[in-house]
Amino acid sequence: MSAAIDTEIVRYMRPLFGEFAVTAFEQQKAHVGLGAQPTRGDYIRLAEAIRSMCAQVAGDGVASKIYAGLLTIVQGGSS
Amino acid sequence: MNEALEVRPVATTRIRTWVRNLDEEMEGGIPHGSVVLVCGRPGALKSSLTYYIMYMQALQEERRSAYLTLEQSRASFVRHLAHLGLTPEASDEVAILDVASLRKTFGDAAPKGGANWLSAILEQAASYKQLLGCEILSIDSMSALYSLHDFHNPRRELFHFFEGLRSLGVTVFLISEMYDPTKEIFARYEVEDFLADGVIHLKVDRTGGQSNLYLGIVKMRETRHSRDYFPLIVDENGFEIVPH
Repeated sequence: MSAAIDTEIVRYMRPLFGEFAVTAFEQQKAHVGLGAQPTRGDYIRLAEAIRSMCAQVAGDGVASKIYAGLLTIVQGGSS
Repeated sequence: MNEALEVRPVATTRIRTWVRNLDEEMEGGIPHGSVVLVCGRPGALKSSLTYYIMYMQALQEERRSAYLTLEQSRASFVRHLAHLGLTPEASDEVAILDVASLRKTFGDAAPKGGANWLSAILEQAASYKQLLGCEILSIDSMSALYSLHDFHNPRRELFHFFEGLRSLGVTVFLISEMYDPTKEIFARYEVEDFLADGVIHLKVDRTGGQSNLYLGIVKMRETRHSRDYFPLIVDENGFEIVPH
């Protein structure tokens, strides 16, 4: 299930990060220390980390929208 | 007259610059969908003027824009704008996208590897148009883009780049630095002004110990415009040209 969430998150990040999306996602996963069996809480921490990165790239307005979308993806997945 | 041969003027949607007195000098503004070079020497307020146009478009006409900064960080640019009385954080209608920080984080290789940054920027611009619903896009600067891209045939590659920008269906501002104070070379490869639909030139006159700014519309397709250079005033009320 986590692979499906990962794919969905990368797909969601792609419009802002383009082809950098995969690298950016992997970097943030490593940054928050996501394990092999991540929980929903882990994914929420990941979404927060991605929000911070988006804020740096595009400002708080865009980052908040991305974060809301990420939460929808994460909460739609398994715990 | 034969109806088939009758020429009907096509109404052109125009992007007002909101620079006081300037739009009157070019039939109300820049034709929407144009690719416009904003050129000048360092300190000529190219970035500030471009952002101002986008900011005023958001404020007055609710048009969304994306400003891609390739060299200066977003935080630094926002601080600079605040000095001019512009508050980017007050509105998300103009998204400042910090491609510079992506470069710092992920390196200068183009996103798909190699160094085809012209294609990479076109793809990103198309994405931003969709993601943000923007109608205006600016790229700051051409020099920064050129420093990333490996050119093999500049004339051909730039032709396709400009065509790609035009096909986005948004109004594009390309910020171009001029280096030689003795010549009017508007961009590095000297073809960009032919490929662009419009050229706005910001000139700094530093004679007599003073520094005065002038704005000239060198070129604007589909538009009757003045070719004079006008004094440019920047104050707390915004940008203004002084008509003759």
